[in-house]
Amino acid sequence: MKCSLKATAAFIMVSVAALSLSALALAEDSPKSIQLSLPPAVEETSDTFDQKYQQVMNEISISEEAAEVVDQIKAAVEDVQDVTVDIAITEIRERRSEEVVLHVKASVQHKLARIEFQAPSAVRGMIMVADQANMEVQTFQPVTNIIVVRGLEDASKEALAALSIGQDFTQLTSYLDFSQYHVEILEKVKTEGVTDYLLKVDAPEDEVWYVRVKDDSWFPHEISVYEEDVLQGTMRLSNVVLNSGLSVEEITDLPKVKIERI
Amino acid sequence: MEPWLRSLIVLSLLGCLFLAAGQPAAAFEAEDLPFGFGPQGWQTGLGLSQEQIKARGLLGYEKTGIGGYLTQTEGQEETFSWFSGHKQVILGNIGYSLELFGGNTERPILSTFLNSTEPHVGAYGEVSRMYGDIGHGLAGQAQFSVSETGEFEYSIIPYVQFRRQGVWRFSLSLGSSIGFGMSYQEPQEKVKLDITFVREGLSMHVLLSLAEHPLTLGAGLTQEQAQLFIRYSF
Repeated sequence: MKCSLKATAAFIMVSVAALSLSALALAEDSPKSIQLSLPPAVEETSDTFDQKYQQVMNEISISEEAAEVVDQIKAAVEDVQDVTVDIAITEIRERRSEEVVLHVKASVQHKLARIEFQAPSAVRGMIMVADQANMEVQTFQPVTNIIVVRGLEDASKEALAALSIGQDFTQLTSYLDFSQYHVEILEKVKTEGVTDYLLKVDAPEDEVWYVRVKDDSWFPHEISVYEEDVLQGTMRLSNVVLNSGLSVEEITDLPKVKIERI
Repeated sequence: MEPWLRSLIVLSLLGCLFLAAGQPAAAFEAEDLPFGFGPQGWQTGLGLSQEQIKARGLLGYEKTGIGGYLTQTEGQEETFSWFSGHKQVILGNIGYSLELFGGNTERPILSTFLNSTEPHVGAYGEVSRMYGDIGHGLAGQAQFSVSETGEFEYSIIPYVQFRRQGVWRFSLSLGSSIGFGMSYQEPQEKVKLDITFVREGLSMHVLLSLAEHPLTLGAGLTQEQAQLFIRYSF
């Protein structure tokens, strides 16, 4: 009986300690193991319980926080009418990495998107303007100083299909909506009042995305794609300007050169 | 009937045939009737070209085509002709082109052909690379005479080019004739200019397309010869 009471008392103490310590651990956003000095027989039970309890508590609280972050991202991007952004995509191919730097302007309202290629040198100076209303893509080719016009469907089959923005620019922001995936927060760093989150997103096709987002804009600024624990590539987004009221001219302005249609 | 007049009538009839018959004309992308005055006197003829363009990946395209012309000079029985087949491939900022040609005039510069030569076949190739607004490239040309003389001529032309209100190209010419040159192409390609200085002297060529009319005006000038022409496209 004495032993049973002792165990019950220890259990209650462990529960209270676990509750308070788990709250502290959550505040620091890093799970900590709890060291308790208890009799050996009770210690085993309390450790197991504490670990399970803390695991459950962490999962619940992280899920809630992750859901909140995902909601914030969704809210930040879902009503975007236009966006101006610099994108750097680093693709890993075996041992080589290739970086493509783009300046992108897109407008859901005007159904237009503009991509200016800034790197590598093999594409620097090229400008693509995709016009969903007219279902065509205009590409300025510096090497011949002409604009080649082709159907949007043809172009989207080539590469825009990979992004699926060829057909519908309203999907532009859906890429940053992670609410349909399992998301967890891996890291949270606060610098000068701005919190930078690292999210792990279980994307389809066995891909895992690691997404970095700051709470000052809630617009993701880095996305790394892993497939079977192998880094496939990283996309960095910078100089993001949302809803600046991009005009049709700002997006479609191309050099006044000869036009050829495919 | 004078031979040149007979040829002129035949060529004019050919032109009228293309003008009148819409379907046959559609077989070629562009047809034109050149009419000009050159070193041998008045010239007229028929030019034809056909070109197909198709996409190569997202950032490239390729052009495949044939073209050529046939002209008759006043008072001469011999006709001048030049025909070619070409392919150009553009992949991002890199361009390749190859042209195989044959004829009995020199390879035209801005549609101007000044000199008649021995019948020959030849090839012209070019690799071009741009880095945004500046770039460089290498062109090469070789031609073999198919006459008894069997003459062989070649030239290698490295160049740099940049875009500023058009495309400016500065080149060196190495090979059978050595010199340097400059060319300019207006953004809409309505004005083209080519100046070359080689051992034999200076040559200038200019081509002007009239925006609202199916007409192209051209002129070529060397130390010894000059040619002016107008081409009516239909």
